[in-house]
Amino acid sequence: METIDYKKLAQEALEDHRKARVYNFRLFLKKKLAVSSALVLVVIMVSALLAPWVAPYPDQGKGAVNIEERLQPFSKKHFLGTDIYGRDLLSRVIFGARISVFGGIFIVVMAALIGVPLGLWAGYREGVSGAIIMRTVELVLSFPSALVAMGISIVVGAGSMTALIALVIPWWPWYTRMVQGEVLSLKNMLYIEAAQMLGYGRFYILFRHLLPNILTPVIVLMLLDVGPAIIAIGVLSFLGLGTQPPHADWGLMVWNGSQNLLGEWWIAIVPGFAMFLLVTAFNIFGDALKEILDTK
Amino acid sequence: MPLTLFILKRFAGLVALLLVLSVLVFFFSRAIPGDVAALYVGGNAKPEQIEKARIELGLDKPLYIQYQRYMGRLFKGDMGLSLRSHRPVLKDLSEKIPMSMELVLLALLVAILLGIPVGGIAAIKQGTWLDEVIKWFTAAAVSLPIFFLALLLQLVFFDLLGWFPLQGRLDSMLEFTHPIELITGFSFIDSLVTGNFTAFFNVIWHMVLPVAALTLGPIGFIARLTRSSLLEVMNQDYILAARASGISEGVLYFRYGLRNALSPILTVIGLMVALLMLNTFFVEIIFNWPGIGYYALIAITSLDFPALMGVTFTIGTIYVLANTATDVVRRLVDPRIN
Repeated sequence: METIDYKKLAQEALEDHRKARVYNFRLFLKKKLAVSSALVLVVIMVSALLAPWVAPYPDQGKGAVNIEERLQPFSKKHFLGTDIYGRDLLSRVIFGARISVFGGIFIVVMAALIGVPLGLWAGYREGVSGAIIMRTVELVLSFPSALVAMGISIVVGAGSMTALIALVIPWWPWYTRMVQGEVLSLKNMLYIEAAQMLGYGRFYILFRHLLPNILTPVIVLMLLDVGPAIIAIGVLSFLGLGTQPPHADWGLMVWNGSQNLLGEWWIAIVPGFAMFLLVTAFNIFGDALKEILDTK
Repeated sequence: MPLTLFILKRFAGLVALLLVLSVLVFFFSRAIPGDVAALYVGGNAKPEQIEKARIELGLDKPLYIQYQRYMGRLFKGDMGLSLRSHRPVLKDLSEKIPMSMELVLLALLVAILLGIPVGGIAAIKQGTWLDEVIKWFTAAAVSLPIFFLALLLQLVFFDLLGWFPLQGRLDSMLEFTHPIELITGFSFIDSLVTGNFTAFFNVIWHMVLPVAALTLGPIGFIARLTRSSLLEVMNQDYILAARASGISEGVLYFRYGLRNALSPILTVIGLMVALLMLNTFFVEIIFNWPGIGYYALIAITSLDFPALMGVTFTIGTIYVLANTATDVVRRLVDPRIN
């Protein structure tokens, strides 16, 4: 009788999967747009991280006023001009990148950290606890999320940390909802039943068997959510509900610049364009990475 | 589930949601630092006057009684007086909502009318330079923060080219020479039905930039969705069968493909309305458009709490109604959903 070598089969399947990813990665490198967006991301992230060393005028980036040189257009000394307080806009943009880049990532990571475990639980254990989780998800999703975030910021008092937390609160249910749906479709698969019969515990099955299989859609959703999260931060700070002056923040800079739009347009346009560039880069990069990860 | 039962259930959900919303907003807004009575009487009031206003507004009573009173009056259609304008909030809102809705609905219409063909063309011309251009355009459209886009439009089309007005709803001269009669509150309808064409064209002229700012993101979004949805449908077996039987490509795409591809687009229209309602806040602030967003901003900055409650209720209701309408339309269009 012919015996089937399951181990070998599994190894082969894994190998195919890996090959498909390598192949997709090569395709990614061929896409000029995707690669250049990755480069843009690296440049912005590194300069945000090393802001005090990269920015030409770090003290102005942090908020120091330089009144003699106010409202200057682009020049060699101030590459992107200066704002109403004479602060070098390039330095302000570099310092402002910190809250945008890392805040955007923070929101998405926190939303996933809260949303994914709840979704795993609600999908696996349908009962009362699962129903409570899903009703909560529906309730939170039925509120206009931006209003929720604005409301929280108004009540608690504006600040960059408040804004970030206020945005996580309406954000996590999307992850719970998606993960719950994935788990519902996976949990009747043979390998889960096998694990149950082998007597593995609930949490072991949830985190060792189910989680790895839903990780790809979660990562894809996270990647595609960073751009919108960055815009959401900008929206709150544009309304004065986020970062407070003298700290640099792109949304706040656009708001301040809009007061001088018709004379010194660059004050609003430079930070706005920076935000556009970062969000576009994240969106294109996320789309491209989605294609790599999707090996089906 | 029959359709009527479904709609009834959604309305029960709406009432429950508004109740939760009212409790949250009421108690949260009272947590905001600031003395409501002092705001009501204004800056130079004596302590006795503030005290009198406190009793007049019922602010001396415990919070839950205040809430009870507020809700009792709300059921009679009374949202209280605005602390700032001292006018009934309901009256303020009934003037402001149509002003916002005319921007939102026009932007939605433009987004559907342009987004679907653009996405359709991208799908038909898949892989060509045109598809590539549309891909670039849609990627940019969904990445532009609305406030940045609005400022950019002002800069280019007012400052640089001078084609459109910077802000406002009507030239200030026309406010006196050709005032718009208030009928529906939609300024372009009101001016049209009263035969006030001077004002009508002026209003349209003022609406171009705000609507453009609102609609660009949704155009990109709908175009992307149409493209992917149409491509998916065109890969189905029945399209292959139809193609094999010699049906022309045009009929194939428009009669067989697009119709079936439209269902996912319908599902995002509710989402679109919600997004536009938010975005109109920024557009109204930047373009000085006298709608609900502008009203809300002033309510927020002056802690005008009854006005804020009113705005929250209104937006919550519109949000849920839009979602319900979408679900109903979806069920009507797609018989498979039950």
